[in-house]
Amino acid sequence: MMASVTYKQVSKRFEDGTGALVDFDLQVDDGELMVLVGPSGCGKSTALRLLAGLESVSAGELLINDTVINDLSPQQRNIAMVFQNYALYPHMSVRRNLAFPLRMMKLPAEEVARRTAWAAELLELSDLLERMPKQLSGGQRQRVAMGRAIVREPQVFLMDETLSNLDAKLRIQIRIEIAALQRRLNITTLYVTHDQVEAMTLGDRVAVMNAGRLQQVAMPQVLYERPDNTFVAGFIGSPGMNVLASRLQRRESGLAVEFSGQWLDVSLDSRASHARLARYVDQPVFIGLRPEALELASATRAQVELTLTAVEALGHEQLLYFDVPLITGSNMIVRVQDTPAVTIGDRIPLRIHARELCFFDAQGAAIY
Amino acid sequence: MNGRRMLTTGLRYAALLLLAVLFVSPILLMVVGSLKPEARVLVEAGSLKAFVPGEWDLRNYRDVFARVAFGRYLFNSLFITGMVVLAGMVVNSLAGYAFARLAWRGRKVLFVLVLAILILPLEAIAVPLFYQVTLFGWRDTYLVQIAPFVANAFSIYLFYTFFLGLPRELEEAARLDGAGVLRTFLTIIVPNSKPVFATVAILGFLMQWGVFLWPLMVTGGEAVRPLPLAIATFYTLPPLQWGDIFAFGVMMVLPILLVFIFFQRWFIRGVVATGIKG
Repeated sequence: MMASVTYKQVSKRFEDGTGALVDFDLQVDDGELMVLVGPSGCGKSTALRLLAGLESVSAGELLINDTVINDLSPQQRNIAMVFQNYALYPHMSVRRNLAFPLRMMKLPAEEVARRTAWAAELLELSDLLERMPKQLSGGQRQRVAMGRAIVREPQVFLMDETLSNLDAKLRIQIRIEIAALQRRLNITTLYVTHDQVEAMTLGDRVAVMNAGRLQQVAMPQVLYERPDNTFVAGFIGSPGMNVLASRLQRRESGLAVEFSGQWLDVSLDSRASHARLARYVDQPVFIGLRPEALELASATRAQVELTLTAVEALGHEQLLYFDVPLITGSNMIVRVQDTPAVTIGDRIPLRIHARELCFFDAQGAAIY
Repeated sequence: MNGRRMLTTGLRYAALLLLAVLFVSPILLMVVGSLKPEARVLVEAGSLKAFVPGEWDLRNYRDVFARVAFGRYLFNSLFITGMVVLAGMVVNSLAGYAFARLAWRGRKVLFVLVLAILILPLEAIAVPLFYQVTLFGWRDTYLVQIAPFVANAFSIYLFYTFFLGLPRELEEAARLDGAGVLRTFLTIIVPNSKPVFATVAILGFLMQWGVFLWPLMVTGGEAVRPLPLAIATFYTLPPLQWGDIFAFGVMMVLPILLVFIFFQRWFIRGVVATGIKG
């Protein structure tokens, strides 16, 4: 069943006047897994609830394929949703939970039984059919919730913070299962999360939201390498991009950018075109550096020396914190693989991969 | 345990025991007295022997049935109370749900009105209500004792607060699964609301079982009168026989006890179930 989803200039304003979603535009292609990600209160869940029909649209149009669905009831939209707390019916066995949407469709009993068995098989629930929800583990409840959603073969599949009630290990396992299931069933899916790792690993494309507005929608790698603005730069990545205030200057050799009191040449193969950057000379700009865009260097090769303020050892990598304030208020982070012999308070020589520098204008929009 | 602690514990128990005796003794007196021959009831009334059962004797119970149409009154009371409670559970739960979950114009204003009715005693509206039902020609019927008490502000409020506490996602899931409002209510909400239905049933039964003023105003003969009026009449029916009155009282209290025991099971189970996460 083909189903694309379109948000056209959709806004949602609640009765108390708060705007949860502002001029939201998004196109989700048939069979695509689109992840909506952002901090809490960014409007991602509202976007999902509007599509489900659980909230009414204040302005704009919602479409499935070419049909405007603004005024359709939830039942008429043929959309299934998995809730954060699963919302299994506590008084019904797994079998009856799975069968509930089918019974509402008034399907004949043998069809209900066939589809229930199919979903149970697919999600490895066949042995649990007679259990009650309270007798299931978190992961099993999660699977029942998914089963109840897919059993009626909906046009669109919605998942709202579906993994956030699970422990870290199970979350990764179910994340993989969800991705596999979605590919197998090829159902257009919108997945909401506040966890950018989940977003990056799960999404065909990821829509980053903040304060009710769409910030950028792109494939995960593009979000990581070419963020549209400082918000996306800081939000995507763990830790996010180091974004700091800076200035540009014209030198004989080309452009130079200020970094912690030093002037660095902007290499010609920088992500931003020199022609465009030249327009920002002598103006305040922001620069962005991924934590891996800096490396420890020998004193002779080093471009800057910074003071180490903290070290986080994660086993496979170390995060080094330096006394360079970011626009978010925290300190700059550098990611290194090996374990360097460093002490907090040391002045550490560093090299910067100048071509991985990102530039943003004073409003925070990226300059490419 | 040192002596001082033992003393305070002992005193506390003594005080509790005294309180328990105070509350239980009238009921005990009634039950024991109902099983004694009439002659002994009065003789022993002034002493502690009143609480000591003699030979079991059911004559007083037989007397009650012989002297008044007890069966008729019992049926009347059961029917009226039962209908008020049953119809009340339907009407009040739906109203509570509408106030708690549905969005409609005037909801807030109407809810404030319902809350206002909470503090209005029957006595305050008894006379105008009496005129109204007289106008309808409802006097001396079951209907007149049932209809005015089905909708109950307190029950609505109990349902309202309970439904507010249910996870909204349950209903949203049901809506997405294709259930309409009424079906969601019946198949999802009601089965998960046993505690509040049990509470409303117990309280409603207690309230309705003892009503006196209203049936006195609107009924005449024994045909539709409930037990509280009957025991009042029985009391003044010569000869005055305390054993019979006790027997009447015991039979009147018994149904309340049964209802309470029956619903309490659900009530406790409900509390336990909601205590478990998920």
